[in-house]
Amino acid sequence: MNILTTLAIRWPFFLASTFLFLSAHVIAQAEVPKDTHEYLLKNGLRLIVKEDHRAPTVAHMVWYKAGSIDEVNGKTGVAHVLEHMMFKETKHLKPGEFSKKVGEVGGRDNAFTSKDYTAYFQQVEKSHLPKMMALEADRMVNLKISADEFAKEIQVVMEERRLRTDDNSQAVVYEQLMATAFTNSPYRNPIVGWMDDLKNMTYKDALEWYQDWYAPNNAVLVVSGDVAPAEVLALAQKYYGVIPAKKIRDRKPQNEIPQIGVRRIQVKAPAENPDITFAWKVPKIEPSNIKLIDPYALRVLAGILDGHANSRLNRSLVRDLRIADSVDASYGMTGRGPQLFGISASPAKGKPLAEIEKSIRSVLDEIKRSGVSDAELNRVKSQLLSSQIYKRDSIFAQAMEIGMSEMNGISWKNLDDIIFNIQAVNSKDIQKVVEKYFIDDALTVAILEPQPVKEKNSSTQKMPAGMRH
Amino acid sequence: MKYVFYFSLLIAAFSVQAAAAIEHWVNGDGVSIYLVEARTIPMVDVQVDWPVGSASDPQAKIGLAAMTAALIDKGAIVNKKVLTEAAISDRLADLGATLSFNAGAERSSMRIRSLSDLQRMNELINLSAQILKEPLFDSKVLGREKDRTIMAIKESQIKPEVILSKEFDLQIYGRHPYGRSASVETIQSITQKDIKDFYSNRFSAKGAKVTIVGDIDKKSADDLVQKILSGLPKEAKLTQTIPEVELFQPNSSKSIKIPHAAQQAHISMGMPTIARKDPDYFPMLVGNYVLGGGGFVSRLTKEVREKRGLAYSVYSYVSPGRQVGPFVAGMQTKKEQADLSVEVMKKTISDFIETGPTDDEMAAAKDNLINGFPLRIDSNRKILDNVASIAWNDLPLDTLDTWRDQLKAVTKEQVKAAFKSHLDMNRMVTVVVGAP
Repeated sequence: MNILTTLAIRWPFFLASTFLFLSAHVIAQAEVPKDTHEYLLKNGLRLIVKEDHRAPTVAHMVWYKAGSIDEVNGKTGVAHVLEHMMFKETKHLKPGEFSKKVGEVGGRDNAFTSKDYTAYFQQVEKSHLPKMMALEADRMVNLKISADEFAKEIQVVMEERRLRTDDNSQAVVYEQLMATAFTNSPYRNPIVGWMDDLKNMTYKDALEWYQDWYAPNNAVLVVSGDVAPAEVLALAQKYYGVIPAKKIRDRKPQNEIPQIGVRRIQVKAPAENPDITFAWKVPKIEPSNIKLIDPYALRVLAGILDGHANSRLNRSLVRDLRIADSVDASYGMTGRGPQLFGISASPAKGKPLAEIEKSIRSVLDEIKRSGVSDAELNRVKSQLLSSQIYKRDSIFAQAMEIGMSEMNGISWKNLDDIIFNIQAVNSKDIQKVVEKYFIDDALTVAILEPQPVKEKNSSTQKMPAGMRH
Repeated sequence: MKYVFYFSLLIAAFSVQAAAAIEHWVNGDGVSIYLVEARTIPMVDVQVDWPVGSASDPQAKIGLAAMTAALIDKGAIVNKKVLTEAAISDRLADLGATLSFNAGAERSSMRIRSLSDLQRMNELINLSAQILKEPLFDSKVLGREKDRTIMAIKESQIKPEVILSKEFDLQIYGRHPYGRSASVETIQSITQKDIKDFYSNRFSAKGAKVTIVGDIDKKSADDLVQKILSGLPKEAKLTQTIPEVELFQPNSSKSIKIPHAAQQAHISMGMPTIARKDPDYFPMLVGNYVLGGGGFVSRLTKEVREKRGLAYSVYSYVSPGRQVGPFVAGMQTKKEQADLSVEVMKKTISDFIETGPTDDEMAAAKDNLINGFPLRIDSNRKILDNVASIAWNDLPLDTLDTWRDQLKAVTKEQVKAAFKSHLDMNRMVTVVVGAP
């Protein structure tokens, strides 16, 4: 389980976890890439165009800086509910017409809500870009939310919650872990929202959210693919440029208060095997000073602990000691809210969780004491650099990277600096971050305590194969 | 920058005239090779497919093909010395490359992704060849992987979606090997000797299909294939034979309910339909877009999600392979709505079989599938998937070339006739896990 998977998505559509780690377009020294262009429209909409002429297709994405972090108590989940409502009605379109129009041109479209933002996208053959802009600009300003359509869609969202959280023990553990690790930061609430809040939500809540946050001056438009930047700018001015700017609601910082002691929870949920997750509060890249080395050291540490099949955690716990069946490490290097460094493991049959905990701590202690080898450092860096090349295979991934980074307050112009800074990390930097941040006062531990499934099913197990056919 | 120009020409050529872009030849060892040169990014993707799948598993040892695939890269004997699994994964990571094995029902596949510079490519080719030549199949590693697989099976057995999919496969395929799934007992019974025999008897150069996409020319691609597979036997001692998948008999429809404590009921309905080479492939593709393949615009989504708010996800698909594959429609909904949902799905599917698509729906489906074609081939990864499928299913090399014309030619009458002949509510099986 990757505990940092925070995207809630409208339609089953899963992003490669590599998107969660920032990376850049080229392996050069920090030099601004020439194939990317940024413009600011008069109404405050920022446009970023990334040229890639390999195939005649384009990815068109609109990113709103409005995610679950911006929600208030009693209305959790509203960012995501609004995302669903965006596919309904506008002044010019009847319900369902949006997707029909994208479908006609062979487009693939979807949207996703995260803790930090909400994004909408279409992938089309390049000649259809103007139509996509017309549609997306329309719903930026002309959305209609009726009580009737809302009543049906909120049922769909509740089904989504049942499917992806309530009936999924790992997801329940993650939800409980976040609610425990954070006290006052809105990161403690699930993106999909608490069921009780969903049950009590009205169309007016969704409308209020739309009015508060959906405006050109709270959005970034990202277009990647086989396009000419000047033409994209002209199109953006034509379709988006006419939308008036709005006063955007004040954002309260809601900075998380310091943790003052270890937090441990048990979560009882239907499962066969127990598991254990550790989450330490750690720093992220601060947009105001992207040079601070700690986040980059933590990023390399994640690679050394869990970057390939023989990295430290897997080698030790799964292969050598045989006490775990799987173990993962993850780190959110950027984000609008506070970040965690997570390690989770499933014990091998009969192995106590205490032994897992001891071994994880001893892996960390070993790094704190003796540092890491040059071979390990180079390996992680080599993997990172190759991934920079592989990423260029997808224009969608490139648009994703730019959008996520911008939402988190880091300019696409700094993406290469990040790679550069990661390359500079040495063994001492890693020892230092382990020493500094992997302390119990900043730790939350969640244990999944397996419960038998209540109604024992008659299952396929008991039936000889083929009997019913 | 020169690469960019070169590739944009190539991709233009590719989308208009795909046959020119796929080079296909059979080498001296009997390996069938498919190459698409794509030189913009300095990387290469390789997929090797062997006709060795779970269909070859002995009845008492289901999971043997998958376990073999999982163990191939976990250690090798090189010049009489052991190259450990740790050393292999370190070397791959040092190269910034990935290599993976997996086994499906019909085939075992090896996938490699690497940067294309000569030094890395040569190292990777040598390493892959060493791995394939004499895998270690260490008994300790086997024990570990068996433990992990058994844990995973136990964990998945309580999940409603897994219970559903096992039961559904069993219903669709009956005694056919595709209907089987591994259990704790079958995994437990796999021995080191089973794995060694399975590998040495069934994996060979001849009969393998290799698809390569990326920054590599024909000569280097040919060398690469020859070298990687050089340690394998020329010919396999045992070849895989798969019986035909049987179609359902008339008036055989049934409904199976399995209780479960989850909040949602999971529903699947379907029946075996066509193989990939069936002339009805394109009419079924167009028809299914209208019925349940076209995301938010499909009839199932409209009836189930948009009109009634019954589900987050509802879909249908037809999955033909070398063998006949099923039509499947599925969704999840809270328990109390399960019966209603089954009714709505059945009515929607049955209406569609009866009356077929409207003119508007036909036009919308064809527009989508035809206009969306460039998105099917706009990355090396997607091209690899398409070409490997052409290779595996023995489809004509101009399949991508003629794709849009084939779609254009589909008529409303063909769709209706295809659905009438391959689908029938009186033969369909419905499985609900977690029904009230």
